Amino acid sequence: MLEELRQTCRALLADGKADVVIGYAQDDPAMPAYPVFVTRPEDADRLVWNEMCLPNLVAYLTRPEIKALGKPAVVVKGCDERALVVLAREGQVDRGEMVAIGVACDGVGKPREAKCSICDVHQPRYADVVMGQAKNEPVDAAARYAEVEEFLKKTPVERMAFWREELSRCVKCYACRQVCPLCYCTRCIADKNQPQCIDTSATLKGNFAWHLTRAFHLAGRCAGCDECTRACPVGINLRLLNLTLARSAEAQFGYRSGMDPEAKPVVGSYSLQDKEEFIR
Amino acid sequence: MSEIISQEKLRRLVGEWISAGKRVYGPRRPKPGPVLYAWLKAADELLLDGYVRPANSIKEVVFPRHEVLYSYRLEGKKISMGEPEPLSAERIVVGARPCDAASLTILDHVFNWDYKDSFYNRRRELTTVITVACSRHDAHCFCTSVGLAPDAVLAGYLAGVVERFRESPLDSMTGPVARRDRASVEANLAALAGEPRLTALYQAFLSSAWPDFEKDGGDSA
Amino acid sequence: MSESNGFEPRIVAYVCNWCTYLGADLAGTNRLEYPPNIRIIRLPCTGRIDFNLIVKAFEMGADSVLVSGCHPGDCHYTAGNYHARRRWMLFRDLLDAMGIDLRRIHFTWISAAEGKKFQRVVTEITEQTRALGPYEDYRKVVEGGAC
Repeated sequence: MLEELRQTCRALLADGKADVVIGYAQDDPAMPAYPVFVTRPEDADRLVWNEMCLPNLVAYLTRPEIKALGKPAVVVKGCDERALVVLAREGQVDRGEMVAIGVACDGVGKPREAKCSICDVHQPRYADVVMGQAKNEPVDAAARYAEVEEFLKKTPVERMAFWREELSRCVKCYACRQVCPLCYCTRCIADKNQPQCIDTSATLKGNFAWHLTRAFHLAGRCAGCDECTRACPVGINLRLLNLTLARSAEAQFGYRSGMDPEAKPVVGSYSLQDKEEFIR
Repeated sequence: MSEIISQEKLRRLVGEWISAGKRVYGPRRPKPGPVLYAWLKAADELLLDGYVRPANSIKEVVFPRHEVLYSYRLEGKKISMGEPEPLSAERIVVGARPCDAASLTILDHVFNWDYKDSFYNRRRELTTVITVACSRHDAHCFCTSVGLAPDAVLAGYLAGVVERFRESPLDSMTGPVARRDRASVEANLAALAGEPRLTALYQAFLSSAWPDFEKDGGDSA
Repeated sequence: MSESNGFEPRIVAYVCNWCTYLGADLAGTNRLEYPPNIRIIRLPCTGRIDFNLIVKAFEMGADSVLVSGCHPGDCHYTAGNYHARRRWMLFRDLLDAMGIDLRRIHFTWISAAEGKKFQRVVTEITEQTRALGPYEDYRKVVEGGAC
């Protein structure tokens, strides 16, 4: 499959169908692969594909410095592809002006990432060309959100205590924001200071404000790639927070982000039938 | 006579410090995930091996992310200023890496070169740093590129975790002695020059482990 | 200490200009008494409410928050309250997962004609909050200070 991938990328660049291939390269097989931006056909040999290809390369499609390189081709795993579907739906990428190279994936990370055990997108579904073959077995919602269900067994007081401990470690490095393909706002609300909307200090107050805001801004959008969790230098369980909102979106609206390019996004649309038991 | 402390006794000491109301900062693993320097609530939280270095630095101890500098109260046209409570609890960093400890020398300079930052200096005065030398490194370590070493002594007191010396000779300040690396031993001695007590400790160890140091040219590094 | 037997809840209400605010006004002109614990913040529409505002209210010391707007179908801007409702449905779950006390967050539809409803809702919320006590948990987060 690796040779097929390299050949496909070489051809795309040689034929002018793409100006830059955003793929994975790797120096040390024990370390995660890193993103590489190949513009010459002969450099396609640097591309790799293996279980250490962890980054979500879709994050680069909205960066101005990458857009300046020209028409992109991007290597996507199933989870990355979900983010691509959301970006296309939100008008941030033109699917016709780029090439998505899907790679069938059995799971990444050593040890395996948590997201892989509940994955139902091993085989990318909307890519322009797909390397390899994998099966997409459906996963039921109970399994998908098992971690959240487990967490919600805690009482509200215990939950608050848990998040106080988790979020106390946050240093506001914003790595989570930087690595997220869906955090593409050129002016993030955290950077607004006239007036200041979110306390930017790395205190518990500021950390709660930031993480509540980011989780909410990703409600019904987060693709579950977990790159934020992996990027966090102090190991905050951001996955749990994002999964909570994903569960809410699926339970209340039957919606999963990035699964259907035609589906109406959950925030930004409404239904006259939306439930309102909690509204007096 | 060299001084050796076992891990068990070190932990007991840490426990005593914590009970005495001192604040102890050291490597711990809060949950599966990265090891981090953090304020220890109990001695068994202290993690002394099984990792290369914590994911954060010891900066927090002398330069916290957030602190109250002053407060004020407005009552009509009257403004009254308030000062925060002056810090009094001693703080001890246990298990700092030499690279982390070396950073304090730089911070001392930053906070004192034109204006003596009383907030920084107060914390610094109250802080004691105990380093643990490194017995392994990873692909990201670069102390040697900036004039440091896994067994460098720059700031604070030294306590080699000598239990490990028994298992792996290339360890702590004893490593260069064991390797008969004259240049490194002399560099260590030079670094300790301003501290008679540490120099005496090191000399004592040297004379027991490398009696011919004075006369012996030693192997090249 | 006045705290123990004189706790006065502080309630922040984010209300829409066209319905609930006028409803509150009606309560006033009709001399309907309601507890003074409420601080009303007028916005053009519930659809404009950024959920950070609820968090900010707790940060600033509110013990309860009320969000109130036009009934579905009556929004002055046609669909603002539908968008708000959609957001509220998700935001509640997030707050619940964080351990924030949902009993202290109230959502209502109060129209410009419902002065009495405004009086009733505010009175109920004040009493409920008085029974719950001050919102210590979020105060602890705010005063958590240096980590």
